Amino acid sequence: MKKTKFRFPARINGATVAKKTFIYVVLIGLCLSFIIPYFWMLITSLRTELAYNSTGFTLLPLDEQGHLSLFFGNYKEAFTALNLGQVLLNTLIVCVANTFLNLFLNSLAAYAFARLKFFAKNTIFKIILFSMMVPGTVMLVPNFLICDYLGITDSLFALILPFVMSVYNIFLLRQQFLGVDKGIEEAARIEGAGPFRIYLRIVLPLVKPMMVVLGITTFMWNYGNYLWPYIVNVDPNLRTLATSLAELTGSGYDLTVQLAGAVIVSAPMIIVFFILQKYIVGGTMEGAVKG
Amino acid sequence: MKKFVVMMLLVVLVACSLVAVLVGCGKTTDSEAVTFYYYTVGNAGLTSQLNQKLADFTAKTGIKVQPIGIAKDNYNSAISTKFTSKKTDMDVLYLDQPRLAQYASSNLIYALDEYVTTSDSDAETVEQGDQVLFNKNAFNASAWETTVYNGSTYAIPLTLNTSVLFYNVRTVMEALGLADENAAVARMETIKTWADVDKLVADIKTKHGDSAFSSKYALLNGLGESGYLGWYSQCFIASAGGKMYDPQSKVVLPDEDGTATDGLTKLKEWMDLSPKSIYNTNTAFTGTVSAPAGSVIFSLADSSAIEKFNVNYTDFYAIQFPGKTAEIGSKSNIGGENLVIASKSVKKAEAVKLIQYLVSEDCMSLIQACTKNFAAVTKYASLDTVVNAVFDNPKDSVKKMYATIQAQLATAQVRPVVNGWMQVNDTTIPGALKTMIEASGNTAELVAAALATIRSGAGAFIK
Amino acid sequence: MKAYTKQLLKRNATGYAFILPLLIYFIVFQLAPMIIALVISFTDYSLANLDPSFVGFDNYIELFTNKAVYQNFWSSLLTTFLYMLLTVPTSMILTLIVSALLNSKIKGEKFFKTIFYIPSVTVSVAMMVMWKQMLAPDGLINQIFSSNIDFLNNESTALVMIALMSVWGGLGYNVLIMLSAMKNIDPSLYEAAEMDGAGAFQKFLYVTVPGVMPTIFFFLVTGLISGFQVGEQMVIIYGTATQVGSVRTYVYEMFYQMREMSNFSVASAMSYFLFAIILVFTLIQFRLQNADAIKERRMLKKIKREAANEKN
Repeated sequence: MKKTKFRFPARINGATVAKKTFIYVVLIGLCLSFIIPYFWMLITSLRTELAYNSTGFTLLPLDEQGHLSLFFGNYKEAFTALNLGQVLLNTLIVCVANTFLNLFLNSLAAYAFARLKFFAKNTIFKIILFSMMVPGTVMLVPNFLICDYLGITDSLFALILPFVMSVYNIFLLRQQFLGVDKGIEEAARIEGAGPFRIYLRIVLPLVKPMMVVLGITTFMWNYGNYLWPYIVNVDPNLRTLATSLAELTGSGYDLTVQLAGAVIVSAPMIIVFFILQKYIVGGTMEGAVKG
Repeated sequence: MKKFVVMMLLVVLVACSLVAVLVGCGKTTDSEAVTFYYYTVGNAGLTSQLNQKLADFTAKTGIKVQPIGIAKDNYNSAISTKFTSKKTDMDVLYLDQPRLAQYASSNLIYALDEYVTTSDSDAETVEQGDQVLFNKNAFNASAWETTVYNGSTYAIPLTLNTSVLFYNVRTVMEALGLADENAAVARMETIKTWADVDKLVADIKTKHGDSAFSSKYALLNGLGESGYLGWYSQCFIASAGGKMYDPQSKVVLPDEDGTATDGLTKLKEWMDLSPKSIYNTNTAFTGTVSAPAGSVIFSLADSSAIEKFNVNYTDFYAIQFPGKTAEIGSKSNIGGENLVIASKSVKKAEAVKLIQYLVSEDCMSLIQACTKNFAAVTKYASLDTVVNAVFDNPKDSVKKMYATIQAQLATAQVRPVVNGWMQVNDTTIPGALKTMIEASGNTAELVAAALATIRSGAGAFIK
Repeated sequence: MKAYTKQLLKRNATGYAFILPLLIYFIVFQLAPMIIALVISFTDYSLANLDPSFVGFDNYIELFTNKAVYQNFWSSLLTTFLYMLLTVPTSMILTLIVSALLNSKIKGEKFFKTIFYIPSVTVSVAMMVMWKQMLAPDGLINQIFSSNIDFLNNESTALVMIALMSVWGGLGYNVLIMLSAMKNIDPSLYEAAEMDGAGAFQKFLYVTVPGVMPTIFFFLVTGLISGFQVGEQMVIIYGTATQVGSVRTYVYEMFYQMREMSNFSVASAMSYFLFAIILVFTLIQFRLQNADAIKERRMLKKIKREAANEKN
C-alpha cells in the first residue's frame, strides 16, 4: 500500500505538538458546528414552546422553571399534522417499488449493453447516455406535462414511473458487468443456459456489492425526493414524508413541532447511514470516480 | 454479522412493501363526496375541529364532504395546478381574492348570480323553496365587490383583511419626548389626515433636530417588494380619493383629478423620510429586550404582522390609514379569501349547500380562527374570536390593534377585479415604484415617470 | 444462410427484450416530455389560455427582452451567479483545508468523516426546516448572540445564509472525494519536497493542490452545474411566491412561472434555456476529462516507448 510507505520523521518536539493540537482544535470546532444543530433540533423538539421561549440559549431539555424535563407533546402533534400512518405507507410503497424495479430493470439493460450483441447497440447506448446530460431540474416541467397528459398526476404512479429507471445506474452497472470474467458465462452457455438465465443466476450474483450500493442509494434518494412529489401530487393522502414535512412547515406550526417533524423524517435515514455506512460511502466514491 | 443485518433489512423491506401494496390497492377516493379545498394554518386542533364541523354537516344534510387541507404557503400554487390539470376533482375551494378575475375569465369557476339576492333582513342566506340565496346586504360591501367580475358574481366572500399603520408606543414616546404611554397613544389617535402626519414629522424634528429623519428615525418600515408594494400603494391612491383602475376607460391609475399623482407623491414623500439604512434592521421597529424603542415610527401591514411584533416586552398599537383630507377620510386596501365552485364540478347544488353552511354562524367563528381574518358576514365578524385564535392571553393593546383593523375594514377599498391585475400588482407597480422610491431628484418628475411606466407596463397584462 | 439469419434474428430479439423496459421508459419519460416541452415552449399554453396556439419564438423573445412582463428573468440569472460565487469558491477552499487537515496522520479521521457526512444523508426538507428554525428570529443563532435578526427574510442576509447551508451540507461529500484524491498523491513527491526544505504550508501549496487539480476541476464543473439548478431550498423555505427578492434564482423563477402563474409555455422555454446553459458546461467538463485521459494515454505510451528503448 502506498499509504504505509510514507511517514513523517518521528520528531516529537513542541512544534509538532502545537501543530497537532491546532489541527484537532479546528476539526473538533468544525465537528461541533455539525453536531450542535442536530442536537439542538432533538432537544428543542422535546421541550414546550413556552419553555423554549422563556429560556435563552441552552442545549438541555429545560422546562420553563429551568428544571430538566422531557415533553413529548410536539411529537404527538407532529404525528397528527404529518398524517404519519398514511404518509409512511406512501413513502414505503414508493421507495420499495422504485428500489426493486430500478435494480431489476437497470441491471437487465446494463447486462444487454455489456454482453449481448444486437443491432445498433452502441448507437442506442450513446443516445441514452446523452440523456444523462439533461439534469433533473430541467425535466421537472416536461415530466409534469407528460404525467398530466397520461392522467397519472395525483397518484402514487406519478412518483414511481418517472423514476423507475436511471441511466446513471445503468452506466455504473454496465461497467461492473464488463469487469466480469467472460469464461464463466461461456461455460454456462455451453451447458445450455439461455441469456436470461446467465444474467440472473451467474452474472448478477457476481455484482451483488454494487447492487446493494445502488439499492441503498436509490431507496434513500426516493425517500428524500421533494420537488417532484410536491409538483405532481396535491392530494394530502398521497404525500410522502418529505412533502408532508414541507406542508407542516409551510402551514406555520410552532417551532418545536416543526423540529419534531424534522426529527421524525430525518432520523430513519441517519440511523440507516450509521448501520450501512460502508455501502453508502462506497457508493459515493463509486459515483464520483466514475461519473 | 453484517450480512445478517443486510438480509434482515431486505426481509423487512419486502414485508413492508407487500403490506403496503395490499393496503394501498384498497384505497380509493370517495367520488360521491363534495371536495373542499382549504388552507391549513399551524394548528392540528383547529383542523380537526373543522373536520368535525364538516361531519356535522354530512349528518344534517346527507352530503358527504372530503376536506383537503393544503399548507398556506403552498395553497395558491397547488390550486392553480389543480385548475390546469386534466384530472381535477375540485368542488368548493378557498380562493385568494386577487386570483378570482383570472379564473373567472377562463371560465374555470361558476358564476353564482342565480344564488344572489338583496334582502332587508340581516340573515346571510335565505332559502326559497329548494334554492339557497345569499343575501348581499349581510356581507361586507367591499368584500362582495371582490367577487364581481364583468358584472357577474363568481364567489361568496368568506374572510377579509386590510392594512393599517402600526406603531411601537415606546418609539413614539421617545420620538415625541412623552413620558406617558397613554399620552402617546392619545397623540397618535389624533392622526386622521396627511396633514396630521406632517405635523407629527414636524414635532419629531423639533425634538430631535432637522436631521431626525435622515439619521435617527424612519417614518415607514419600508413597503416591501413585489406584491406587497403593489398592494400597499393602493392605500395611498385610495386615501387621495383615487382609483387603481377605471374599468370604463380601461385606464390604470386614472389621474384626471390628480389623485394618482397625489397618492404617489405622498408615498414618495413618506419614503424619503424613511432611509433604508434605518428601517432595514430587524430591531428598527420592534426594538430589543433591553432597548424596546426602535427607530421606525410606522409599519404599514395587515393583521398577520401582529403576531410578529414581539408582544412580550413592549406594546404596539395601530391607527387607521390617514386620508388626504378629512372629507375623503381613511381609506385602505382589502385582502382575504372567497369561496368558489370549480366549473368542472358536477355537484353544484351540493357545493352551494356547503358554502351556505360555511358562511353560517356554525362555521364562521371557527373559520375566523383558522384564517386569522375577520368574517365577511358583517354580523359574525368577531374581534374576540380572531384575537383568541392568535394569542393565548391577549393583552389589551393586541385587542386594540385588531379593533383598529376591524374599523378600517368598513372603508377598505376593493382592488380592481380585472384579468391581469395580479401581474400588474406583482410586477409592474412594484417595479416602477421601487425605481421611484430609490431615485433622488425632482419628485414631480419621478412620480410622472412612475405613472407612465406603470401605465405602459400594465398594458402587457391587461388586454 | 437461413440458419444464420435466424440466429441473427434471435440474437437481436434477445437483446431488444433486455432493453425493452429501458426503451419504453426512455421514450415516455425522457424523449416525449422533452419534445412536448419543446413544442409547448413555442405556444401560448397557460392557465389563461388552455387552448394553445402556435406563437413561434415569442416566448423566448419576450423572456429575454420584455422587462415589463418578465422583470425578474435577468435578475434571477444574476442571483444564480451570485449564489455560485458564494458557494463554489468557499466550498472548494473549505474542502481543501479540511481534507488536508484530515490527511495529516491524525487519529479519528473516520469519525470526523462520518460526522461531516451526516448532512448528506439528511432528508433535504428536514435539513431546511432545521436551518429555517435555527435562523429564525427566535432560533438557535439569535439565542446564542441574544439578537433578533430575521436572517432568512432580510434581503441582505438571505442568500448568504442559503449559500452557507449548501456549503455546510455538501462538505462531507466533498471531503470524502477530495481526501481519497489526496491519498492517491505519490508520497515520494512529499519526500522530495521535504528534502528541499518545504514546510507544511508549502507542501500543501506545491504538492497537494497540484496533485488534486483534476478533483478541483471536477468540483468546479459540478459546482457550476448544480449551482444553476439551485432553487429547491428556496421553495422549501419560502414557498413559490416569496417577497424576498434576493433569493429568487433562475430555477425559482421557473417554478414561479409554472406554479404561481401557471404559465407552462414560459416555464418550458425557461427549462430549455437552462438546459442550453448546462449543456455548455457539461461539454466543457467532457472536454477537460477527455483531455486528461488523452494526456494520460500519451504519457503511458511514452513510458512504454522509453522502457522499450532502454531494453534495446
